[in-house]
Amino acid sequence: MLMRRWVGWVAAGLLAVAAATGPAPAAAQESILVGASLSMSGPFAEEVGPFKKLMDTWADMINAKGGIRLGNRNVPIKFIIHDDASKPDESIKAYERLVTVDKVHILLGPYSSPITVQASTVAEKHGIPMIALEANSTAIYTRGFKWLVGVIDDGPKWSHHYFDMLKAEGKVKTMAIVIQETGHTKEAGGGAVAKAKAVGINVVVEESAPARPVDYTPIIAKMKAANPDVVFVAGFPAFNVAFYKQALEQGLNPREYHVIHHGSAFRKAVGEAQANLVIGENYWMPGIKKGNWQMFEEMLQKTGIKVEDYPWAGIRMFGLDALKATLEKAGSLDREKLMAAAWTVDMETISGRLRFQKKGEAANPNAEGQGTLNPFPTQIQDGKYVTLWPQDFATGKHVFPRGAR
Amino acid sequence: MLAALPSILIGGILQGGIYALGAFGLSIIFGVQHILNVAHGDVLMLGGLLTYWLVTARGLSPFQAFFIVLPLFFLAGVLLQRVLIRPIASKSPHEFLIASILVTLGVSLAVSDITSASMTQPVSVTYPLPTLQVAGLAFSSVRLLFLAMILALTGAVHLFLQRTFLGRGIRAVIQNREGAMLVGVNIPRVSTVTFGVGTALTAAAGTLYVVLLPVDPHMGIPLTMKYLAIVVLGGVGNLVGALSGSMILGLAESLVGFTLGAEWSLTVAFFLLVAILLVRPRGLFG
Amino acid sequence: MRRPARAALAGLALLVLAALPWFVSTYLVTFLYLALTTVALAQSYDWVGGHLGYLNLGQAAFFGIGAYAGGVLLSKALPLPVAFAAAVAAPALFAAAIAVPFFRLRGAYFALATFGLVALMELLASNLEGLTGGALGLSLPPGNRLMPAYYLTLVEVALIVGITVWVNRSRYGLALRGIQDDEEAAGAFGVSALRVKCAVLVASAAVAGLTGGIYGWYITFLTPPAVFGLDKALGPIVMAMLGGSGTVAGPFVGAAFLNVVEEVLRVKVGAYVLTAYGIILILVGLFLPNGIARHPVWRRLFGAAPAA
Repeated sequence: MLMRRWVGWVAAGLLAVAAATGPAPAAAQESILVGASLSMSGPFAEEVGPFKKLMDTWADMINAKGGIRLGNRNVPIKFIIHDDASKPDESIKAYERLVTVDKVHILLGPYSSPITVQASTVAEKHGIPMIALEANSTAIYTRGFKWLVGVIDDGPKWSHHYFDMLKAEGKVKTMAIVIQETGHTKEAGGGAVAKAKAVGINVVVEESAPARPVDYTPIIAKMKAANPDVVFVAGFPAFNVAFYKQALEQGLNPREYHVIHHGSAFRKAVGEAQANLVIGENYWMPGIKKGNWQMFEEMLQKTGIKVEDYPWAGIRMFGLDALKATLEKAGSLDREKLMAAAWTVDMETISGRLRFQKKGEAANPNAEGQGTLNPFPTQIQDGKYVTLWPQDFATGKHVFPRGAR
Repeated sequence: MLAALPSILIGGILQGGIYALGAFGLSIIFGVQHILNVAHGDVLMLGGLLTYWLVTARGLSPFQAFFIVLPLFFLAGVLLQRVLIRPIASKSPHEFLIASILVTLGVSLAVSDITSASMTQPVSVTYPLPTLQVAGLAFSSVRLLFLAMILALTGAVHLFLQRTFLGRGIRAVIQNREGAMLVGVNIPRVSTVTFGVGTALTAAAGTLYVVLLPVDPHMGIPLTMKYLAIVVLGGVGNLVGALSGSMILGLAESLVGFTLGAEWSLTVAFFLLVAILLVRPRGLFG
Repeated sequence: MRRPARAALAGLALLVLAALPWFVSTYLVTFLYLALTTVALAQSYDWVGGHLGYLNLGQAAFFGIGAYAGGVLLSKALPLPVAFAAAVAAPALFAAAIAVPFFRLRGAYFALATFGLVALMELLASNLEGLTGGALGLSLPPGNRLMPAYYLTLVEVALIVGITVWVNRSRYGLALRGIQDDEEAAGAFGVSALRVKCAVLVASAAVAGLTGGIYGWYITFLTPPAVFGLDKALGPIVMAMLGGSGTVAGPFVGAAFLNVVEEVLRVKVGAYVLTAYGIILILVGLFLPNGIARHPVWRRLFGAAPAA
């Protein structure tokens, strides 16, 4: 009968999805399962694409030494990572699958604040701890979530170390700022404006520009007229390249350029000669010898990943450090214990001391769970990234002004 | 800040010039076959990528790359048209529209995804030229050079369309498809050549684009939207229209950026495009 | 297949979908909810795109306006019914406003103009920070709403499929087909083409808006690129086309097929998912542009029984 055939088709379709999305094969022995979604395709792949290798290499290195110490035994650790295609909806599905089908014990966050904002709702719903990674938007941490902490500090504090340096040097009086209209860059740019004023720098131009490239002549004209000491560009690499090129073409030549994301994507696109002496921010660069830096360098070497190509690798590293510390402090895989343990983490990492801030510590009174790690100002000097500030992380001196072009 | 106005206007015109090259190709393709080519931006991206590779791995200058990209993508366009478009060309307009959207969207998605797997970061080509200082105004000599090239190319395409047999066939099909058939124009051949020429021009636009701006695998569809709007704004199948549409958009962006603030420049530009379409459905010069 | 059998089949499908959440993981429920959202968008798109023949590539604009309208009210602590009412009304009013000028365009020009609408809305959402939170996003009161969102959308989908079936058989459906075939001739037969087109666009917008309102309520955080992004904009439209634009079952079938295929590819294969998706689209465009539901095999299985 036709009816039965129809029912058969519908059932088959559903079974196909259910079967295809079945759980990962069960581990032969007890192991710690850590779940995460990663943008392995889509626009964000250019920022974090190869990080699965990084995380798996870390797991291999840990397991080679016996694994993670849980209570009185050593347990191997394993990552289950799904592609979220750079989309929040996919990330939600991925985390749902990780929790309900793959049955992981603890979660790491996805890349970017917009995706983490959604992904964390899954952790909250199921009551399973999530350690967020590349996610620093204030909005993520002001919802009163109980199952979330994040390793990096509040978005607006992005450039604070840079401004502390400028204040100490006392040479910069005026600054012009252009901000790309995306969540992260608006927070970083807005924070820069506020901090500039707080350290006594006069912000002579403050402009916003669309997320996609346009003609920046109006903004550049304003900046030229104002003749600032520093031009501060708060954008993602593609925006920064577009703006910087147009600025140079039109002869905007301040004493310093600050471009918040100036990894090799930026540097190679504008050329070594033009990129020289540009300052930006990084969480870690070779030369900083803090925390687990040796293990990190070994991981980078094994996977062939360079921090200048993938600046967020540093965050992954101290995220993994925090994960290990949480597991060891909890001594068990019980979710409540893990979450409580996360809150007690206080450790030295490659970017400094990491702790998760309690409610009331951050600028926003409702924020809780944000980490204490901020990136450092680094300057491109002859193709190398030199960390400038604070002193105990510095690997070189600030070259200022940058000279005529 | 009126002193900056000349710079703003020049900036807008130069930006318009960049848009124009990308718009020509789309204009003739859309004019001849009414193809809503969703993959247009991806062709530009690929042209830019090839240029980047030729410049960095083979040491060519962007100008040399330009003359390699043009014929290569002409052939690619011809191939694409024969394999993917010709089979569906005989359908009714409504079905053809649907089929062409499906096919070109499929191409766009596949191209972005495959390119993204091998490209790890946005790329750009450096071609530093000193800033031009004329009468107290400073502007980009690179862009001026490109504008000159685009105008030269416009002249060349114009001559092609006016003087050659094939060119006149293309214009005939754009103006009146049935009439062109009646006077014996070989429609399939015209369609194929047009697609080839259009693809070549678009990829060449990518060559210039990659010198000024970063190229990344996912820029295709947003660019396509913008260029489609320019083309229809200016009037389809019409070089003057495509050029005017581009200039208008470039100037609108710059002037709005100057008065309302840069964050409004794209918004007002799109609003303008939609609004003009509603007032003059055939575009300004259609 | 006889009409009662088809109706029973649809009823069975509805029952299965209603019962499923109690038996499967929340992951599958999430997948089904998001899939149902695309069905709603595909079906509402197809009223204008398939039955009327005007390819409204800007359907996502209505979805997004609905999501933001509902979202803004929810963020101001207004009650849910009010927020949903706004999610329906705002895009409907917008559609009513733009209908007359937009419908002066035909064919590819109409498609192009509407394509630009989505980009425009995304930019506006980003610019009007005071209202929408701009690029930083709009935070809605948090909550776990998967189940209610799922059932609301299921009811919505059932209703609009029912409406599609009913209209298709009614004189109104005849009017729609008449307008698609030859608008001027339809006018000569007393069909007020403009009024019908506007009404259908407004209805389509209202449905998309409600879907958006539910989506915003479920997802609790709105940003312009997430709401107006390309997969929301083009995905449902492609599903309608693939399933068979202008048929009753088309949007549902296309959505079911593409959602399942994409999910299975992503889970089982992992890499090059979009490439495979793109190749599928190319193949469908070349060989099956009329859609699955118009294919002879489908017709034989589920099509109307031949006249006695």
